[in-house]
Amino acid sequence: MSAQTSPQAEQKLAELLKTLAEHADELQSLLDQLLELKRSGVLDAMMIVVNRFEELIHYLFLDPAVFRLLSIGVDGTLGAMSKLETPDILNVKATMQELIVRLGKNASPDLIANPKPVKGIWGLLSALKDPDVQRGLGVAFALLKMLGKQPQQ
Amino acid sequence: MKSYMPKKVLVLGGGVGGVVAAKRIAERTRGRADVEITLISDTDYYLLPPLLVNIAFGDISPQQAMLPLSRFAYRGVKTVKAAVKKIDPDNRTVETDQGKFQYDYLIASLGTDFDFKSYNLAAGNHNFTLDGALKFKEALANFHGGSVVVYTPEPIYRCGVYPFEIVGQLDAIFRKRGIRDKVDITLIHPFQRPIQPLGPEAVKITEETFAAKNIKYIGGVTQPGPVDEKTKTVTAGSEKVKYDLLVVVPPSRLPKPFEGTPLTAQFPNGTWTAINVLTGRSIKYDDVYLPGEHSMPAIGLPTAGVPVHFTAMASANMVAGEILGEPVDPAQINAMTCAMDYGEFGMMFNCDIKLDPANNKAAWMGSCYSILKSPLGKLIKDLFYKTWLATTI
Repeated sequence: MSAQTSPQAEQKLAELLKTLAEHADELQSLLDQLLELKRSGVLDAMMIVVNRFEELIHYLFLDPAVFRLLSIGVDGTLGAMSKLETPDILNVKATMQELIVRLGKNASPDLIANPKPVKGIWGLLSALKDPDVQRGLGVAFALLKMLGKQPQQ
Repeated sequence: MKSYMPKKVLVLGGGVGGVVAAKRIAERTRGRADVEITLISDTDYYLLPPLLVNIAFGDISPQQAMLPLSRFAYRGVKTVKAAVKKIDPDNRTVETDQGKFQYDYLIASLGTDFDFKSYNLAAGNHNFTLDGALKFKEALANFHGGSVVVYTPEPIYRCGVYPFEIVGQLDAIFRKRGIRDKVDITLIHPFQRPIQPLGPEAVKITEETFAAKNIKYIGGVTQPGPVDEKTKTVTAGSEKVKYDLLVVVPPSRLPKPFEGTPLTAQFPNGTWTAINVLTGRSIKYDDVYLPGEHSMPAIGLPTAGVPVHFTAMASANMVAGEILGEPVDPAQINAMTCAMDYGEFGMMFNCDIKLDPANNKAAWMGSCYSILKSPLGKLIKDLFYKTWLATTI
């Protein structure tokens, strides 16, 4: 038995088919992309986020660490960024890069946890003979000068 | 032959607490014929209250802020449209306008009643209900200039940041309409400084924003007076403030079904339902959980969706764990984030929560910090609420 259809329903169906035909290429491309997302597992990963959104938020709220990081790393930095000019940004970026390279190449957890103590005035004078320490002191004084200088608005 | 009676879990309230708890228990007990979950609500839809302001401003339609509770059918949760009249925990019975219901476990999350009577707040506009939001929308459309007063007579009301947001949002709307120079905006509030419980960073941002937007703040009002409709005046302590458009923030009160029941207790900040801070379980009844706004002031948490949501999760985990005989980890939250819209920009603040089981309290006041202050914050707030709504049931 065939289903009865009203003239309005037939007209709607015809309009729908017309729309489909007009966009056949785009729809085919969309379908291909959807299938690719499904095959690659990306769609399934997205569905996990959608289905477990509530749990995701819950995990975040169990430990404020992520929010603390956002406060310092994003909000704190954003506030400062709006006060800088373009050359300042390039300057900060290059300084950060240099600092990270030096830390990465020269620092170690042991160096911080178990430093060689500098004892008394003779120890200090002896340490000052080291050219690396001399350069380090130069950086430290430059930093002190920089920290003490009022930022120009 | 052994016969099994299904465990009856009765959930009261179709707001955030009830919906979250029903969904969680249904997920945990999926496929179990021996568990029967019924949700009772006086509406047949779930409405996300933070979106009421978007309805009032004409940004979205009411349908975009709600989900039909009938969606619960596919989770095996039965929904009943009824108004809860009385809860009788001694006889495990709930009385509604559609009859009585028995339970083995009760989860009640009935929000708070809004007190529009004490200060004649019915004379003003608000967006604490759907009807209110629609009337507010109309009032805004008919407002073309004059004095706008936002009146918050008491410190305990739904969504603590609301009054501070709405003045910023109204400023932005009037600017867009080109009438800001014809409008004065005043906020009357009990806090000495705006948004004080969130701590110094939030106070500083808010005071700077109010100064930049020319919003007047009358704080520290400890003797609020009634609204005088005839003279269109609000009395706040010694000051009388005239208004052309009044926006009111009604104080929260204990919902009627709890009145006179042994589920409540007297606390320094009022009469509220008494619960365990970690689980939402009633202090007196092991089979009753009360993760609603009506319990939040008693444990030190704000009357807002986030703490209710996660207390409801904790309660649901307790109930499901007991039914299934599985270990229970209620996992109450240690942080809560609040997304705010100040008109031109949005803010996200996080508050670290220190749970104190010995004193049955959660401390958060003053332990809050901004995690984002940017126009992008408005977008994130929208995205957050819309995803939240879409994934609720």
